[in-house]
Amino acid sequence: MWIELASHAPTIIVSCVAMGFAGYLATFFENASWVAAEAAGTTSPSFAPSAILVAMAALPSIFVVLGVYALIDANEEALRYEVGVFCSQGIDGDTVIDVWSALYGWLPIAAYFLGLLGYVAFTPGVIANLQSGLPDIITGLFFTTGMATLILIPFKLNGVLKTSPYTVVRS
Amino acid sequence: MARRHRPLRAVSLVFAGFVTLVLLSQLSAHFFAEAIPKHLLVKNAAVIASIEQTSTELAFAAAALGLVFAGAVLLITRQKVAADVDTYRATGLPLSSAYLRLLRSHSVAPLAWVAGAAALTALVDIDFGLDALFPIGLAVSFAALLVIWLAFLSSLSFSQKGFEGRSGGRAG
Repeated sequence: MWIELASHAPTIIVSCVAMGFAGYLATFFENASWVAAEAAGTTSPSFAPSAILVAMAALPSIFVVLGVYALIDANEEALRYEVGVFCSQGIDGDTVIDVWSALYGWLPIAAYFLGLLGYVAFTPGVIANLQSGLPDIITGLFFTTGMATLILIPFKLNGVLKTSPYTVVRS
Repeated sequence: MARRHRPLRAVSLVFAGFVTLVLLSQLSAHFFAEAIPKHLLVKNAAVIASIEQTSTELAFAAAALGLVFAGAVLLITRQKVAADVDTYRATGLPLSSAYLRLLRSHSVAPLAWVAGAAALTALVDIDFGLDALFPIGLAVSFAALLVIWLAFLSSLSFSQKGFEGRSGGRAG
């Protein structure tokens, strides 16, 4: 795991920074929506733009996950080579996928969570604005991002594993 | 084989995604202002100004991050593109011809994506009365980054003395 982390560090750092930024942006959208709702009341017509802001909060992480997918796609040949090396050493393909999923899935999700908390921590008044809605907002955004990341990224990584020459020869 | 010849296709997705993130940041201030009724605008002027400032800062940050992300993809795909330059060079093409071929085979799809995303974003910006020059500027920066990168890789390959000088002995 640690060897893999060191060799993939630049890609993972870029992914994590982008996901952290997506988390920060998402909380900003949510906060703007709640501030607007508080300033104007939640009746129409002010409700619609507020709701649009809430929907927009889910989008940054999805675009960044697509970006991470693109990074993996760009790095596909190197990953296929790695699968060959690990499998020839007797390491199971599923183990390799688990490690990669942790690096390109769970670590960016953790960075997203830190980004969410970063906006809350460094922007005065956010906790007061969001009040009791804060846990729901964080849970909702976290769930949406987690679903997108942990479906798309392992799907791509499994594709890399299946097209690896070693796996093809073994099958 | 189609995959082999389009190593920069991943950058298209990154380009388009981050142009859209810039648009989202710009739109957030607009929807925030829209959410507040006209008669309360003056009362909430300070809050609106604060949100607008943050959204502008985040739009700039999204643009900067997009360039970094795109740069990472270009660095990762460097070897694949460099292999194509070496092939052109090995066939005896001069630098200018090799560069033009490289542009034709690698930059058309990413530039089409970024032009499409920037055009859509600019239309939305104009429709909502936002600054359309921002996404257009970002798209131009992306395009410049890609074209300069390909020029750099071409000149780097052609500046080497012998084809056999590359590590790994590809010419063999």
